Amino acid sequence: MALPATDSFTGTSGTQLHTYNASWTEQRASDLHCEISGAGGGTPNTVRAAATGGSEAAAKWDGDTFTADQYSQAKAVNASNYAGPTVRMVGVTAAAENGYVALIDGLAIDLQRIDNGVRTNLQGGIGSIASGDTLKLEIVGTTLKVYVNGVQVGTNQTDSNYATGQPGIAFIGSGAELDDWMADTIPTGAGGPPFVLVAN
Amino acid sequence: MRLARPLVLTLLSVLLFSTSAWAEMRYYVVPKVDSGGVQGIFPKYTDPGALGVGWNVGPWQAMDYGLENVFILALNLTAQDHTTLTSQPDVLAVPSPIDANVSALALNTIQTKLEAGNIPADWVTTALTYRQCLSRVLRIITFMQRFRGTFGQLFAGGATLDTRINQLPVNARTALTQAAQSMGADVSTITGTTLIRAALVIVADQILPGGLAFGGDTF
Repeated sequence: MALPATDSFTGTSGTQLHTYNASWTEQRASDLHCEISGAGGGTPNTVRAAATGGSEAAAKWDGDTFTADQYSQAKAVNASNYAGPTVRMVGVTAAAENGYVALIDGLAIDLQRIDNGVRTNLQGGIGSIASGDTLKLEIVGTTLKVYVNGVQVGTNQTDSNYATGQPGIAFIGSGAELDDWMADTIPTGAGGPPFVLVAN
Repeated sequence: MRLARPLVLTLLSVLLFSTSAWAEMRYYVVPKVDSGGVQGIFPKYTDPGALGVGWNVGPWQAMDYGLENVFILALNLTAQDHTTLTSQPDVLAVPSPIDANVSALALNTIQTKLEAGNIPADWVTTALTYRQCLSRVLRIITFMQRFRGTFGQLFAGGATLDTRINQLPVNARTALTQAAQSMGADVSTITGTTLIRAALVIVADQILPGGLAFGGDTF
């Protein structure tokens, strides 16, 4: 498929994400599944974690090949719960799940790393987020950046644990919904603020 | 006189910042805590209420040292909260300003607390500034992160900073080499008899030559 990868999660409520779209790979299948929301409550045509079966859910987009420098973003449908875009994700079981997540955490944001399914918080309480806002996580080299509606929140984070992987989404618990996911590679040299040309 | 200058600067900064609501970005070495919940593993004392009612450090940033029980933490605290935090026995505060030289008074504490977390610190001297020390420590941490991400824990099975490279299991040695090379380091000067503490510094001094972002600063 052509990049950027996108998904608006327009599907039948209750359908597991990898069934709805084969480009998605569940990463914690024995924990919680990701599913199209709306069954038994929630917002149709968004994505969430299933209500029962475990504690966390994650899925990575394997329908395209991404370079190591990449971003992932999603719209917060319910901004008071726990979910967010992920980058450099690998693993198809909770015990093998590695990567990074920008996590909506009580109307603020955490930048966390996932190591074998266990999360480590690298930045806490950064920025603020409301329903409808777009949360973006970017990694270039060893530098992670978090954006809300295109504006960076927190500070540049250096972390070298994971050098490659796929973008995706992650959930903690079942209260959060995301929509309008997008991910792409970042061309070499494109990290950081845009250059501004000034005529002499 | 030289030794007294950093001390005077530190005292002056404390006096200046004691009257301001928010001071400056400062750096701390703290242990890890596992929340078992949404926060996952996080730096000790960053959770609201950790040091009493009303305790709230605000936004924070941290880097963890592989699987060791160490976070380097960047915080912008009030002078009062800084004092509260540094009174905890398991907290090491990097003196401010960080462009001052390491004081003779602080040298032993810095070396002892870093080495207790398996961060080599025998190279720390009063000829270096705190910024120079942070720069090297953060790079050691970054290297160990890559090693952790590809292999696991270095200081396991009896390995210490004074273990020789040729005393490590072959797969750990290979992973160290690969981690260093993946970050652009030349490991040709590291031999079997090189101590881990020396190898970490050799690699750290070669990686991220363009700067390392942390706490809103570049090291």
